[in-house]
Amino acid sequence: MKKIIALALISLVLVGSLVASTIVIKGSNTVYPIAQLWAEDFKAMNPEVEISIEGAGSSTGYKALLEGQADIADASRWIKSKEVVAMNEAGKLFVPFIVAYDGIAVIVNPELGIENITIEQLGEIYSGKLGSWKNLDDSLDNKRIVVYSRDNASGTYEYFTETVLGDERLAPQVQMLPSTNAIVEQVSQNKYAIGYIGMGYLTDTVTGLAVEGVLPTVANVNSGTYPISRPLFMWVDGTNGLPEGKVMDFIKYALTPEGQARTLDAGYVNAYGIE
Amino acid sequence: MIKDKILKITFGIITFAIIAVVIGLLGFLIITGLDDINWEFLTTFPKNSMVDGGIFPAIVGSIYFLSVAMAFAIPVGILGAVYLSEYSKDNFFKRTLVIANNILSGIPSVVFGLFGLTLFCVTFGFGTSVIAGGLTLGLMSLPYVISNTYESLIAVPDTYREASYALGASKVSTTFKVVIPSAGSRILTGVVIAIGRIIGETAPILFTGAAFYITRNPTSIFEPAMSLPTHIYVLATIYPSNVQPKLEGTISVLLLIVIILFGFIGFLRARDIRKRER
Amino acid sequence: MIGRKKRDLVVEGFIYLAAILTTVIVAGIFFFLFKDGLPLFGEVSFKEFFTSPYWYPTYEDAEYGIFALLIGTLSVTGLTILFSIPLAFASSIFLAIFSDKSRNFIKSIVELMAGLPSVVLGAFALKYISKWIIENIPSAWTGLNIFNASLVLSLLSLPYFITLMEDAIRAVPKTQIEGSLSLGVSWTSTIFRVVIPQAKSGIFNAMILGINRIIGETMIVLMVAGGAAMVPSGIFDPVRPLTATIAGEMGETELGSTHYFALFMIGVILLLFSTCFTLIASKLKGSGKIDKR
Repeated sequence: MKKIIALALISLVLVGSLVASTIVIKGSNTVYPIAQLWAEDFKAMNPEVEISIEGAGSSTGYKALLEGQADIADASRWIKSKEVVAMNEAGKLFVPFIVAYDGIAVIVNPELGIENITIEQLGEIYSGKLGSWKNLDDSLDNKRIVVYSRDNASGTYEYFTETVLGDERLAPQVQMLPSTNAIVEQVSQNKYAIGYIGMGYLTDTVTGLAVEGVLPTVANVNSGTYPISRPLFMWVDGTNGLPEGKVMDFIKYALTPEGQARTLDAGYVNAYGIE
Repeated sequence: MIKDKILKITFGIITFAIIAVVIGLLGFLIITGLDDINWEFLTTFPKNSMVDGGIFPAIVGSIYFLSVAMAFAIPVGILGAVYLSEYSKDNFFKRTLVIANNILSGIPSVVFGLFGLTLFCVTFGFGTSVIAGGLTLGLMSLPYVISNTYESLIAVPDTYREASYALGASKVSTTFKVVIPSAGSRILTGVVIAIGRIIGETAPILFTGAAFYITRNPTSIFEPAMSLPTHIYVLATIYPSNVQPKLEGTISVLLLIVIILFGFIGFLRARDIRKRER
Repeated sequence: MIGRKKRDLVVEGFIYLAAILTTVIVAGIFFFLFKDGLPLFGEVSFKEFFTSPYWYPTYEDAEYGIFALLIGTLSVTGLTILFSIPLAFASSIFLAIFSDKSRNFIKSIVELMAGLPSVVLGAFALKYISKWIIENIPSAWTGLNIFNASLVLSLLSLPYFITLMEDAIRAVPKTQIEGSLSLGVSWTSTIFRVVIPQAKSGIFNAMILGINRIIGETMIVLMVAGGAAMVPSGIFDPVRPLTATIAGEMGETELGSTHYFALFMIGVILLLFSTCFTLIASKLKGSGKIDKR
């Protein structure tokens, strides 16, 4: 009986791996919305290919690539030194592609009435030095600044805090939320709140501030004048040269003008030319 | 006595206020999402980065996760309960088992998630898959199945067992041909309660079995799957607010399933009571 | 054809195996969590981990102090207890003693409450309750805080408290209640002088099991407790409970890093909490009794 079960299990695995021409994409959830659009398009063009998007963060992506459990690792941050060590120990080589840019918008409640902010001021707010809006500008109410941030493990957090704080630490009273949507929701409800989000999540219930006088727009991210934007990556295992077949076709599609135009649909900014 | 009346009315008001809040909240959440539910929503894959399309793979995935969980928890749980009610004497081994069962039922769901991650995904090498997520949920539901089945088994009168022995049946035959069948509908109730407790669980499968988007339903238990609770979490957190109607629709569907499950439990119990009264 | 005796033996073997399995699973959970949690103390001192209020796991000179997180868990749990235990107490007495026709209806709604998915309640509180707090409570500076999380957690924990407390009250022998009433003692005095003292250990047992649920709840505190790793000074301050820290950070943590070990160590602490609570509850109930769910 046990032998039969074992045989059945083994054949299930074998059949599964033979039949499925599945592209497994794992990693950062910042990249999901755009990865999903490409997956939908790619599936429409290649009906025989199946795609699954999994994972809960950039680290899960690198780990899965290392263990051969993913074909593509999404990441919203560069590979960390420990991950490079692990890669070297396994005798592997990962190859990154920049697939899009993510402009990070600083948002406040529209009723607050400010439209511009500097990186230095952001640093003072996020390190807790400016307790009240009045300290920022005399015309504002003497009310506590309610500061929101993404979770301290997210790539967005790492990039943002490095840019505005440098080596300084985030104040403990900064509220770290697991989700961009929650930040939008809270800032739209609270007149004295401030937060940062991916540009694609901007709605008319919040004001996206100009940073150093530059508005968070696609054009400004593209031209490099908007100061807070970062690349999004897809990594593949290039130990034996670039992968062939559908995995590479998928990345190639993402980088075509058509695929890049989709980055805008997902709220990101194209990394390569669209026209 | 006037004092008694006041006490009764105050406590009654509190009780019905709690009930009203629950019904109001359920009604609000279900009705908000109701106009987003249609046949297409239930039977198609998400499209256009979750803004369009439906939740078909999340429904199918939830069924897969629950099937694996129950395929583990029902046999192990029922046999474990049989040991407790039919075989065990009041000794050290039984006490250890009862305490282990109680400890298991008190462990936070996120800790099950950590355990499932290290044991099933990493040590057993299942990766993110239906089997890893399903087994993690199965472990979580095991104490529910054991304690509910145990209650139903000890409720079976000893006269049944004695009658069976008198006919020369062995202990195993008595247990499986007399005791379990006569507790059948109550055991089923217990299993449905266990399903009701784990159907909305998010944390245990978030790291062990959940995919956020797939282009086809899994064809083997070694592939990951979407599920209703993780889909709600993803829609509420990762995607922009233009998926709000889909979020409300998914919440509505999950709540309706939970209500149907608990309605079914009520039906089973009512039938059980009618049977016993007859 | 296997003989009947032999078949019975095989079946009994499976029964014993299933019985042992539960114990093995619990031992396995302890083993795997400790295995990935203990390496932390090779890099971070025991004292820093428990007493430092600084949780900065992703910085160059990282600090792994869970004091603020621990206080977060305790404050949310404490306020939830304040909200829910008096309510549960009142309605369990109503259910056990005063309700007659409405009992089945109330019981079924209470049971349904226990089945409400926490992720759904979290999504609701994130959108609606936080807005209500900002608009109606002037001293609240943020909508996501201890108060909000406790409100939702109360809803989630009420069914556990009510069901278990009602069982405890109903377990009081009828003859004692009738005896008291026949002496002309009012219902109110009978409840407080006879029923509750009799049901005391059952009520404590209910409290402990319910509190255990509250401490372990993850999705609600992840979504609405506020996420700030600070030591709160009031109920409208945001906190970052232990469970929320694990769920929020696990996905982005490198396998085998100090941060990874620290999250597993937090898991160990939660595991020890829940084990202690369960053991105390079993002691109150008399060991050898299975917890009813």
